Amino acid sequence: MDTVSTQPMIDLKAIAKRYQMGEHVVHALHPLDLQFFAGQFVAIVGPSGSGKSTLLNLLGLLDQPSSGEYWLDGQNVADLPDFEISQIRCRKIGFIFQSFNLFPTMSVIENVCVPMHYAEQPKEYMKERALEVLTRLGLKDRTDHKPTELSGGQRQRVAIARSLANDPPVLLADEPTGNLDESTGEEVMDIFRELRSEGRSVIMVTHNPDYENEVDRVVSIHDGRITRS
Amino acid sequence: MRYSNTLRLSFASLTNHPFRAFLAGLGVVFGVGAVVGMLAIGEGARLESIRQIQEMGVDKIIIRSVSKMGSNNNQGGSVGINEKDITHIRSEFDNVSGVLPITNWNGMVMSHWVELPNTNILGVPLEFLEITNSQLVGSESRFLTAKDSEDGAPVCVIGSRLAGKLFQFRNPLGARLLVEGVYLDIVGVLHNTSDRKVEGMGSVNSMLYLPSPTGFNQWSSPTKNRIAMPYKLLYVVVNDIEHIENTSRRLEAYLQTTHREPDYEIILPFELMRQQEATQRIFTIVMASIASISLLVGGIGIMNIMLANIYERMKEIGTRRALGATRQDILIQFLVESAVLTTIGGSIGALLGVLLAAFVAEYADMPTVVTLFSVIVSLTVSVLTGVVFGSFPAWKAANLSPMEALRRE
Repeated sequence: MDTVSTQPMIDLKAIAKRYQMGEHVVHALHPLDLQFFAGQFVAIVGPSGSGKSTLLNLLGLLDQPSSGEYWLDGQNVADLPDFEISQIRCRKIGFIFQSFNLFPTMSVIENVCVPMHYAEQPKEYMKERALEVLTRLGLKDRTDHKPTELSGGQRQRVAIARSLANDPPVLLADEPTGNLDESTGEEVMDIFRELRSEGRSVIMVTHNPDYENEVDRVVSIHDGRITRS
Repeated sequence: MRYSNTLRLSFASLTNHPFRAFLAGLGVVFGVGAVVGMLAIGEGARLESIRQIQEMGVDKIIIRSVSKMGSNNNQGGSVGINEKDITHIRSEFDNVSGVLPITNWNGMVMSHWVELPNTNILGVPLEFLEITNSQLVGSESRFLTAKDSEDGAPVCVIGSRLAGKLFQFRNPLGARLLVEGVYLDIVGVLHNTSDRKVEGMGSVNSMLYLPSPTGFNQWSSPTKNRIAMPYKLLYVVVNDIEHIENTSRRLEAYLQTTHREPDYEIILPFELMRQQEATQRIFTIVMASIASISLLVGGIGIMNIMLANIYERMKEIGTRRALGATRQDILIQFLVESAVLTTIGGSIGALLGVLLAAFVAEYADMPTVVTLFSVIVSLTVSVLTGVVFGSFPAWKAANLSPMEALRRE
């Protein structure tokens, strides 16, 4: 174990997810213990239906676990009311989606400002910060474009800029390269590695085995159980 | 900060589907238009009927003689109001400032050129012009004077329409008419701009007027069903309008004891006006309620479209939740959107209502009055429609599981 980060950014303790399907109980995730550290780039891999998306939803606080504890940045977040959970999503977690999920009626810079609206940042700061992250991702001259006017790689970079708006310590990416060609996918991976180096915890769900060698750690899931971590 | 761009956001999402937003808002447009239009028509009708009653004079009690065919109710050889009643009311009633009797003969009126049978001939008091709010036509015109009345002078004043019939474009002043065998000099022509009717008789403009004594001297008392009816109408003017109902009740009590049969009818314009106001209010409420139903239908249309909207925008809702939107944020976003839609619809509808009112006034010849109150109420109601009918869809959107919402494509 690395000596730099002994305190995990994310600590899952016996966390499980079950669904009631008629008379049967379906175990989407069997109770599992898992830790993620700051400055680590982790890939969660597994075949479809293995439970990796369930795990990502739990990590992103989009779903509630059936049992267990979820410690995020030193706080147990498993059973918080909606408002607080939303605030944690807003400030601590950045989401990146396979199909980018940008708002088509808004310009690039407006898209980047959305999380800052929910964090109730002042207007001048929002503009300044949005420009900062967009510049960093090489989109300075695209701020007033609509997402539909951009290429796939550019769109995903806008989405990454949006996820960084509130400077969250955790980034969750769901198949971020799934809709991109190989070279643009590599660009995105480079960005993630850079963000990891800043001390963020980057967690990516993928089923592309090629990426297994490009990350710090691979977590494999099969049938709701961790087979490698 | 949090809601600083919610309004702009809702405009953006409405303009994203302009035709759909237009169709959704149309129900509210017509609903509000109908409410504003109906209220304007109702208010116009109310003011018009009040104007008509006020023309009768709210400070007057009108007693009208009534004669029923075949009834044998003659008292002292006459039916209806008699000389004794007039003297008694004049001397014994305190709140009475004037008692103005009108006698109604009927007969043939001939000029040099035209003869008109069955013309109403009224024996009137000198205050007749003021009672009916009529004006004399031409500077040479005068009304009947006290001297005419004392002397029983053979003079008359004619209404403007009657003058037209008898003389076409010639000047009737100074001309002589043969009225039921008696020559009368025309001293004046009168005109009533609103073509007012005298209770139970024709228009002021189409009758002939002379001092009552002249008529009584030349002819006998007019008859109804072969019984003399010396006075067709009696205007009782009161001093204090506050006590007009009391005076009217006392008059009724007096007439009940002195008349064996009810050969009179008491009309109280003041009371009529109050009844009319009440009736009109109900009328307006009923019309506005019917119009509100279309607003309700409009609201249901809004709900429908907002629900469809949510299913289409699942992914947006999920993404917003992932980026930090609370349930309340989503709720407010959708509420504002439907309220904006109905507010715009309501404003267009109010405009439409004003146009409808103007159209009705112009082509249906009905007075209409658009009150600021009705416009404010309609606009408030349309905003509320958006909030009320948008709240279920907004609640649904807010309570979507973010995970489920994100799964939708």
